[in-house]
Amino acid sequence: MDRLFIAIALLAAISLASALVRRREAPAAPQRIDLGDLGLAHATGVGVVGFSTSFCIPCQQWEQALVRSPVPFMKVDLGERPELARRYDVKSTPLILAVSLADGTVVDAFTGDPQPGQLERIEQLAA
Amino acid sequence: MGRSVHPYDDTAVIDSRAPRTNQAVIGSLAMLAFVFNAQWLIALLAIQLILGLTMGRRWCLPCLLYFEVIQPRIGEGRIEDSRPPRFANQVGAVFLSVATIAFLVGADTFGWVLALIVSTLALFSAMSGICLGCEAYMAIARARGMRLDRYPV
Repeated sequence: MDRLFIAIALLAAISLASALVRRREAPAAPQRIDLGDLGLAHATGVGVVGFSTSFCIPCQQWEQALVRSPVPFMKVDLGERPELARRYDVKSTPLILAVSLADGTVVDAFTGDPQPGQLERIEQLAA
Repeated sequence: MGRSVHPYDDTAVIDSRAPRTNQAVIGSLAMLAFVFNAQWLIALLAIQLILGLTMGRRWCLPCLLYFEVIQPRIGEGRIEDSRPPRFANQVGAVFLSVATIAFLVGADTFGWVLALIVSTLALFSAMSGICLGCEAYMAIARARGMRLDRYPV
């Protein structure tokens, strides 16, 4: 019976910890990107910075959609720029940021597979 | 449903739901083993992990469960680098193997502590999606200056 109580207590603790962690793990996006970090010149309008890694299938889906879009798009491979993953606290990819090209302010952010309406939202921001 | 990577041949990557299935199975069975004082089950789990690590995913029963039963029904999940979850499995295999040895030499309490550590971490990973063994791998990889071109994905 003691073992059962220990197991139940452990399961309760694990469930609680998981729930707390999941709540805190809401995808966070940086507020601002240093355009100089990415070699981007200051300009007007909104562009897209896509943080990706080589085996990330959703990143490829985003890239395919964005290169066909009129919105300026820059892909950042975190394998080649791991320091940017640390600087901007990128925990998972894809992280797609709609960024003001004037000052690097992030105006919207997307994670996971591209969803209907998201590309249109980016194009609206850039328009 | 289509697959973008082969579950058994593309060993550099893995559907991220497969390690979670493995963690759920290992964690649950290790907890049950503790409740029912089934030391033999801990030994079986250790053997199962070692077989999967050395012989490939076709020898990993939770992987077969996922790739043959679950994935065809729900589709492919996020593809990720297989090295971090493999490292987590290696740590689990070591802990469960040492636990088995502890049972054999009569150090039951020590054995169960190790088994419960594995169970707790595996269930936490399965529930939260945060694999602490994988995070440990990442920390080691960064400390060694390894190229991290396949993680996070």
